[in-house]
Amino acid sequence: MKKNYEFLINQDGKILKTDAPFFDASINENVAFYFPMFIDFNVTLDIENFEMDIYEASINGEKYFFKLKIHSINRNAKNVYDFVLEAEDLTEEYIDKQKHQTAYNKISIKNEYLRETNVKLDSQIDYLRTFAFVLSHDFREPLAVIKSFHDLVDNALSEKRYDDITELNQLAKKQIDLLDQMVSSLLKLQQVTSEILSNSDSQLNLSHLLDKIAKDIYESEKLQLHNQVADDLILNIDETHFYVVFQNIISNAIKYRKGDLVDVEIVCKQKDHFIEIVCKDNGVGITDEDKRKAFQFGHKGSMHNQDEIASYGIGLFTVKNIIELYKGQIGIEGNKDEGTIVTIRLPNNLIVDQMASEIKENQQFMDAKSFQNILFVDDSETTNFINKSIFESLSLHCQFYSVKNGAEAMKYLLGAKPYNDQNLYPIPDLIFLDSSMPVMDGVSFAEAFSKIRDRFNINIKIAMLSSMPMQKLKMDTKDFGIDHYIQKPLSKEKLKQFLQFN
Amino acid sequence: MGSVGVGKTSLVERLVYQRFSPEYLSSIGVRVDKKSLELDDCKVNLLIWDIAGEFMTHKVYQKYLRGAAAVVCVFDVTREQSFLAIKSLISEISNEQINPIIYIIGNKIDLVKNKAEFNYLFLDESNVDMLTSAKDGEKVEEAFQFLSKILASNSPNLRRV
Repeated sequence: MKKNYEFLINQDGKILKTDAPFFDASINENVAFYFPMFIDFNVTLDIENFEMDIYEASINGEKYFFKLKIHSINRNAKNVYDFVLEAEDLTEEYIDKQKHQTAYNKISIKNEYLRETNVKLDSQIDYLRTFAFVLSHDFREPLAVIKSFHDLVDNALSEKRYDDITELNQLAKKQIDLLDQMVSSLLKLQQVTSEILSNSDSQLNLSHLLDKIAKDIYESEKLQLHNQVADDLILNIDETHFYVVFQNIISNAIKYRKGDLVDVEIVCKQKDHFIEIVCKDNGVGITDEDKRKAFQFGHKGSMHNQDEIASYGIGLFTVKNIIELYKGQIGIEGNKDEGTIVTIRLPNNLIVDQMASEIKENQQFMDAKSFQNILFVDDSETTNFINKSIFESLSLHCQFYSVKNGAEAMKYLLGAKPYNDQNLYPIPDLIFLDSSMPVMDGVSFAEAFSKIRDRFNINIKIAMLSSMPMQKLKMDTKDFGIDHYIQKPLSKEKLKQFLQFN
Repeated sequence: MGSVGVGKTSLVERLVYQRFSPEYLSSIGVRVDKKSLELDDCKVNLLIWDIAGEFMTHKVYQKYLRGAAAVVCVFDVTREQSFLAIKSLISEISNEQINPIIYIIGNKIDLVKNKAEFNYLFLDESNVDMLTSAKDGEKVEEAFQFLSKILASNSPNLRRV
């Protein structure tokens, strides 16, 4: 089979003659019909020295691979052609090569992802090492101080210096408070670093959140907050996460203030690809070293102004983790004595389209009407009453039933006495289950129910409510088919979120 | 140009033939396509050389840069490595004795739409010209329209229509 073709071409790019079988001589085509790179034959390319490695062409619906070479020849008076294009047909060889190349490239792409994952894992390991080191150091220090105070108290007791004891106790209490605050900070950090964005539909008015933090925050009387965030800006972010973020930023501003008062201005702007939130204060500023290390675990600011407020080097690290959880970025700027600027950037797809959201919400409430019978399993009658009221406040017209513990719920579902009249006690399509109850708790009920769930010819959904940490509860019930977990107490917002998911 | 699998051929297919194939097939060597775009006051004939991704590491591509009016650098928005490869390519091109327009496209934006998966931040550090989806056709034509406008405004030999 012939594998080399020649195209004789004139100065205008017209093919005068060729032995290529795919060439239709009657068309009298320009060379660019087959080889688009010659579209502007006279000017596009350095045509006399044109040589290509491999060119993929689609001709009459067939795929070809050619090695192309073009060179000029002397003008032939009779045939008037000026160039010869040599096309070496390598199709058979390269079709196979393409298959191999495709497989190889797919593996390369997978490898790229794996490498990136490895880098992330390495950084996690580094973080854990630092975490262990900082923890052992920061916990040991107050413990050692407390131990010293304890020894001093013993001495004071034996020497009957009772006045000293009161003072020593107060000093020891400060250290205990410090430890307590550290544990709280670590718990928040643990929540953030281990949490998956499970509830991406939660909506938050950022401006309202900032106002709330300004009221709640420790030493709020020393804060002058200038909240410039638009009142109608709603973001798809979790309230707890962003409470921690802004509480840390604002409390740092208070901590690193110059005098009695600190001004904090918070502005939010929407850019092309992200939302930018800028928090600017007029405090003592920040050193270059602190700027570099501000978000490192265990780093404590060097320009600390207030001795009575402890710094654990956890806050901004937690903030960074939260922001990164939302694929955002945080940076810190400023100079000594010139205040500090914290800039947060978040993907602009976190902005809630209000109108679309309302339509969706209404639709979901309509769908939620499919819940006809709801069974509350909780030992607190007050809780059952409040939960029922919350359902009713959303105009969800369901029938409500309640039992006091898991064992009663099992009786109800199995139609045992006194629940044997199905007209009075219909099978629910939704169970709101408390985790902690006497007799049979929520976890044991969920386990027992998972074994009989198939008996029911309707799909019974279970929402588990708890005031305990959700992570452990999720682990304990992971095999029992819980459809949704809700942190107690139930609220209108939480119920709306639940309905959106179900 | 761009790393393997970023969607260079798919972008060209979408632009020239308005089609997309979900099946991934590696490009071998070079494929050339043409596309005419009408601008406000002129028509631009683009001759697009789709160079196989594996050439990125071979420096074979350098000879194709001579005579190129622009280099379209494509990366996959879900693969940061592909963006780093583009950065390194741009730096190499700057070292050559050629001066084409560098035009950066982030492709596969459909994979990150409505998800907070995209580390959009490198957009801020670099001048990514357009985010596209060859799969959905989003911003593909606009990307090349925009490039054509840049080319037209930079071309002294422009033939106005």
